[in-house]
Amino acid sequence: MKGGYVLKAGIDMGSVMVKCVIVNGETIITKSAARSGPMPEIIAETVLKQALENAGIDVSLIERIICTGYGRHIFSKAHATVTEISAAARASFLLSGRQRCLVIDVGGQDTKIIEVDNNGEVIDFLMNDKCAAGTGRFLEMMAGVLNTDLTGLGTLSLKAEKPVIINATCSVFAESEVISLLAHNEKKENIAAGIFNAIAARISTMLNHFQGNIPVFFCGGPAEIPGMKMAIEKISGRNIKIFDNPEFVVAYGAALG
Amino acid sequence: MQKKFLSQYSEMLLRNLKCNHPDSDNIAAVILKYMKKSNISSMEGFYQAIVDFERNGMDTREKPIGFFCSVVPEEIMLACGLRPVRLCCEEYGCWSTGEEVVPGDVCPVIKAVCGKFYSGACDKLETVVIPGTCDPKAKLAEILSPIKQVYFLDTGRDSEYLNNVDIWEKKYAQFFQFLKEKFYRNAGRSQLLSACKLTNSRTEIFRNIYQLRAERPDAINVFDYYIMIYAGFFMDVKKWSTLAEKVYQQAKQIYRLDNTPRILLAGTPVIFPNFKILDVMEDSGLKMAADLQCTSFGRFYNPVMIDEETESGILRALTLKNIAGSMCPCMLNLEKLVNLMIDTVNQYKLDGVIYYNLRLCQVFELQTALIRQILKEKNIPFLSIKTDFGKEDTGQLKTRMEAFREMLESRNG
Repeated sequence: MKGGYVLKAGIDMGSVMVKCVIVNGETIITKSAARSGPMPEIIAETVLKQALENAGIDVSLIERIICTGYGRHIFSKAHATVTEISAAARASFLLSGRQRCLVIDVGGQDTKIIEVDNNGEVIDFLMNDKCAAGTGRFLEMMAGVLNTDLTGLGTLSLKAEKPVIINATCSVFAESEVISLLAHNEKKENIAAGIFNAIAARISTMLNHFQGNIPVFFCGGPAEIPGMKMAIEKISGRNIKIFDNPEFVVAYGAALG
Repeated sequence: MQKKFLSQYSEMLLRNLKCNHPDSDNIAAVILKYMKKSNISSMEGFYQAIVDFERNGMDTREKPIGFFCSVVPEEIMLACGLRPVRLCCEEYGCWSTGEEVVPGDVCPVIKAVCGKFYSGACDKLETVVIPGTCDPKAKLAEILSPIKQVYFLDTGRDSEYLNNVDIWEKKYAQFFQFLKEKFYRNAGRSQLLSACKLTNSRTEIFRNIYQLRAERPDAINVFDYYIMIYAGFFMDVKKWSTLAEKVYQQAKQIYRLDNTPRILLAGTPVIFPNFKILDVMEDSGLKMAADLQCTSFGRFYNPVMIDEETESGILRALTLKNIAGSMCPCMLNLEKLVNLMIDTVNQYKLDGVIYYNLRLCQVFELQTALIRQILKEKNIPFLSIKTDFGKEDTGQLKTRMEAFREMLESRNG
């Protein structure tokens, strides 16, 4: 390939979405995504095929396929695997202009804060507990109760006059709480903002374990939801930058490996 | 009076107990799984001891006495000719059964212990010694009192030797007296001394094993190590020491070059058959090289150091080893724990620390954030994990551990 680079594919087999990024060196050539489902290997195959088709590349040109995410050990065509933590760190280091940084990665079923040093190495990370509160899945559940989607939930939250306080820290209990708020005629907007505040508070608590003067970047599908970044900034008191195409950052990081 | 009052109600609870949970571990299969991984032939004795124990239960001829926690002095029980059997339990099946008797969101160990008792696994035990180290244990003493004779040994939660040694000595002396009366034993100074010699010789062998593993964890694989620890819950001390010495002699000869990151595992103890954490660590390419847990390091590492060979002097030495030296987060202050972590990591040049938080044991968790900060300051990689005896979070644990391994590897170049 040009400049001696090789084509590599990174596949992020997440719990909600499967994402594929193909790179030439450090440059993204193409990407694709599909919803996760019961046959993750077939879905991985599909997103890879889709990405290749988008760029008009034959699979034989791909030197390496690196898988990450929860399903990383499933895809038999993968040459290597890497955890989503290392993948997010690699990508974030490059995308942030090679600087020491903190990365908030909100995934489908977990949330991570990763500290990357000046050399792009992970020096510390925190992950939420085994429950789904504070993750993309949680937001989807809440959007479902309010009869909207993730973008709709975000848009609603921006119109809130007086956000409610969501007390439950467990997704299932939070769902009951939201249903009960609706039964009391609470405005959807206030509930939506309350949901974002609840997530933001959890993320801020995790951020507090790290020094305050390190630049913070945000990746993962939920980073794109309107209002999400603002809620975290407000509660944590830190400035946060969102990467372009945040849902593909981890797949990109895998492709770099 | 209290016992009678509780008995009526506990009977109601027990009547509908299902006992055998469908997801219970098949002990024989678990034993076989880990036995196959062993590379030391003399380990077979330990595996066999566990099989026999699980199959036949306690041998009443050995006069078994149940106990929890390292603050309960084994030496006093041994001096009375009894067989101390440690009952701390992390078995998944017992845990699930326990949920039928105690609420779901209480300490998993207490839940598992209740399941173990109420399902009949401890029927041959007459007496159980329960310390007041934490609130759930104190309540456990009450919950078990309708079905067992419970001796509640409350030594307080301040582990400063000089402040407490007089009270502790009195508590131990009372306990000694109780056992002598209960089991018609005429024990005194010389029996206590012999018991201390017995546990000290075990300590000597354990230290050799601990140091060997810390430097070369592959010499005795992690499963064998914890199998030995678990066998020590119920085996005769002398037999255990003899067998452990054979294992050590064999293991010394094993050399394997390996760059796998070596880990200090601290926090909640790992107890057979719940080797979930160990399985995930091994699968993720991490080697548990040393530990600071109450069931292993905490129980076996420190010898009884007797200054004065009177009965009082021996009892005081026992309090120094068992109470002042306790690894329980309720007892051990944070500064001592962190210093111990740092010293262990530095002494054996370990790559990082994994701190195992038992979900719903608040004391472990309360100190996690501080430990993280201090170790970070000392440039010691640290990973805290929180889990219980359930199996559903294996994938998430694996992601954490693999990421930790990747982090350590890139750090080591």
